[in-house]
Amino acid sequence: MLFNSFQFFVFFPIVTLIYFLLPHRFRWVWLLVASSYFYMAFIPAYIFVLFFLILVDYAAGILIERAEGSKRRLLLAISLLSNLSLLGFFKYFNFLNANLTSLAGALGSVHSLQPLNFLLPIGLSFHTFQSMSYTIEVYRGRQKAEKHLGILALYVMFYPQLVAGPIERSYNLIQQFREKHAFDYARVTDGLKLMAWGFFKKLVIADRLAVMVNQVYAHPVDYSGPDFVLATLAFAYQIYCDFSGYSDIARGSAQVMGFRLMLNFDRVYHAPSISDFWRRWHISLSTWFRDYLYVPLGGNRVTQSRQRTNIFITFLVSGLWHGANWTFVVWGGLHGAYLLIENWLRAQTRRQPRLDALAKNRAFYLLRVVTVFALVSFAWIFFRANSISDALYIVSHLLVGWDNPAIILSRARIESMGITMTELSIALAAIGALETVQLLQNRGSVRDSVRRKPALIRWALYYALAMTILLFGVYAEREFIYFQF
Amino acid sequence: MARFVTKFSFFLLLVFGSSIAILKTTDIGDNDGYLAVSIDKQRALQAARSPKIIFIGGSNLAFGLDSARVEQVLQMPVVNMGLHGGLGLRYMLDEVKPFVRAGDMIVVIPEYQQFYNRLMDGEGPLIDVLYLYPNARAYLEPPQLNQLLKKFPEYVQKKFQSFVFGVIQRQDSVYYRKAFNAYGDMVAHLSRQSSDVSGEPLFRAKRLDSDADAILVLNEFAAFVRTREARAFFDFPSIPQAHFRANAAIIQDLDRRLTRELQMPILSRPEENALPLNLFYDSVYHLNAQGRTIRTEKIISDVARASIARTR
Repeated sequence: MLFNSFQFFVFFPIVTLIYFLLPHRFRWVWLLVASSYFYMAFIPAYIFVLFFLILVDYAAGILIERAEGSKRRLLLAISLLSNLSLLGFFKYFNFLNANLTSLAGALGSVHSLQPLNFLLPIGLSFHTFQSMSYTIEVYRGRQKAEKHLGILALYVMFYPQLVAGPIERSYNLIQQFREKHAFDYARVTDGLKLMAWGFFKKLVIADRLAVMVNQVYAHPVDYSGPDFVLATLAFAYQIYCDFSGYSDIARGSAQVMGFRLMLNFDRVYHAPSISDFWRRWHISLSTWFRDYLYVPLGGNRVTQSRQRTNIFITFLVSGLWHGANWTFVVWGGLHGAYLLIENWLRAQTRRQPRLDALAKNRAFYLLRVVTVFALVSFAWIFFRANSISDALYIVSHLLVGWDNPAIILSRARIESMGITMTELSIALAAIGALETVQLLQNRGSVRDSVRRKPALIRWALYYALAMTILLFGVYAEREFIYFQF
Repeated sequence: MARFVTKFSFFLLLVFGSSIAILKTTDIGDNDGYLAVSIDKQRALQAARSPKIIFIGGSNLAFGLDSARVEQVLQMPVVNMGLHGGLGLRYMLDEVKPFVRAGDMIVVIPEYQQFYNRLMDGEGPLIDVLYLYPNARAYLEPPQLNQLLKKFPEYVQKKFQSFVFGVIQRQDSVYYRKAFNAYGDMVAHLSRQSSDVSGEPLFRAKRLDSDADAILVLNEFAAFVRTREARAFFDFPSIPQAHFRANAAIIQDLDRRLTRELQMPILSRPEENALPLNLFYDSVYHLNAQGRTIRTEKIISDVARASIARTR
């Protein structure tokens, strides 16, 4: 079920109302039923894949806790292998098969396995990672094995974060299912406000920009440099508003029921460095890779060259996590390279006191923010392009077509990208509003500051937000980009 | 919780009230607008004596039929109920049911979209018609209410944006009530110059989800018509040949489904109704004067043949 569907507008109030009306001991059952229904709205049969994962990790958790010595490691390996095999089968089989076929062809031999023809279970990468984090934490002794199968199932299937995160940690979420959540006016209204903000990002900005991005990236040969720059900047905001909008709706709907999900995005394009960008972008995934891949590889407790390799590997794997396509691997590799260069530059700056002082200058800070945004946007070209050849075509034509400035932003040019001037103006105004709110967040929580305003102003703001979503939202029930991962 | 429910309900009412206010200030109540002709068509339907011919469909019929010519050749009164695809197939059929009498011939020619993505349950234009013609509310069924609820935000938005950004119909538009004649045919466009519709897609939706219910509703209608000792026929709309070729797989699949499942005679094959691009006025379903004449003659011959013989 999509958050931006009519179905969800019926589902959410019913599930929430019944949740609060039920005695605490039955609430987990209700949430599990509701979450199963939510998941089955996509492809019902895939619920069995999810159940299989849950059963494997449930058994693994208990057995790991009881076992000692090398047996613990073996059990963890079995659990991780089960999760990764499932992910590999559904997500990477065709990719691997196609690459082996190409490789075999290049070497003059034949490799002829038929590609599998089925859809990827929705959100598989998210819930396998969430499930794996549970068994790893049990192995590490930070999490007690969950004896209640229903609660563990709910940890993996909790509907707000089931299909696109945040990828929660067991030690944060599992105990919350045992807490009694009474109806709390402030918390409920706060959750609803967060949801409304998420809908604003998704419906008013992301889905509006999607039309233009899809048009240009589907037919790159029909366009030139200015179009690519505009479409890529549009994609930078589309993907941010799409995914952070989803996370806001997920966190808001969980908050209404009394659950605290982790922050997943934090004003990402205000980052003054690539490392800071990764502290703000998809936080639940980047910390997952940090805790369960980068640190076990040795993290920064190893030699500098090994640390660099670890960083690069982590980013390549992170790229591959996003999709079975070389475009994602290149995207990850680019970010890995950015980070390595940044670390080198930082080391150089520390040795030069004058450069160190410059780094604290406000104008220089702004320049860094703009540079990081430009680098991140450049990398988005690979993330969004349908193939490596498309991406290379776009990159190689970025500087083509700038000779006539008068037509760069002409109506005809904009409309050739599938969007009207009016639609583009609405999108730009909405991005302006988004950035204004994000700048205000530097001074503290905007929701808290709104709460302190007189009732009339508060209501006017809520009303304005609701009417903006109603009058300027795009109601195409477009899927969230990260669902495909 | 009571405090929350009270305040939240008030807030929802405020937003809903504002939506209604927006609709009121735009053209929803426009008695001279295109959709207001629905009232005239209903009156024509009530007044027509039986046996008569009733044409049911969307704007392909409004723009593409010369009812006077049909009446003249087939010697039966004709009412053209074709108006707008957004009213949905279910409503189009339901609004005619009370007026079906023994000996009547009903020709259903819906646009292809009626078989996909629940268009059959109606969209924004149905809200307009329900407002303009309150009697129509009696025909509403639960799936339509569900669909209209879904479409309500989009509908309010469309009206608001038309109002604010001036996308309201141009002064020289033919989309108004008086553009129709007494039979229910659009005639204002006949003397106008056609525009190029080659760039317009036949299906705007990126994904087409087939509706088995559309055929079910047609079959229920056919059964109803038989109980009234009348006859119902189905036919495909006219579209440009290029659009037919571009969507041949989808159209042929629909044709196969209809041939297999539809319980009313089909007058012709889809490809027979594909016409040259220069016969279209301003949309892939709207014929110009020349196209309308060709289409009308074909319908007359198909209906005449069907009324005396078993169709394919």
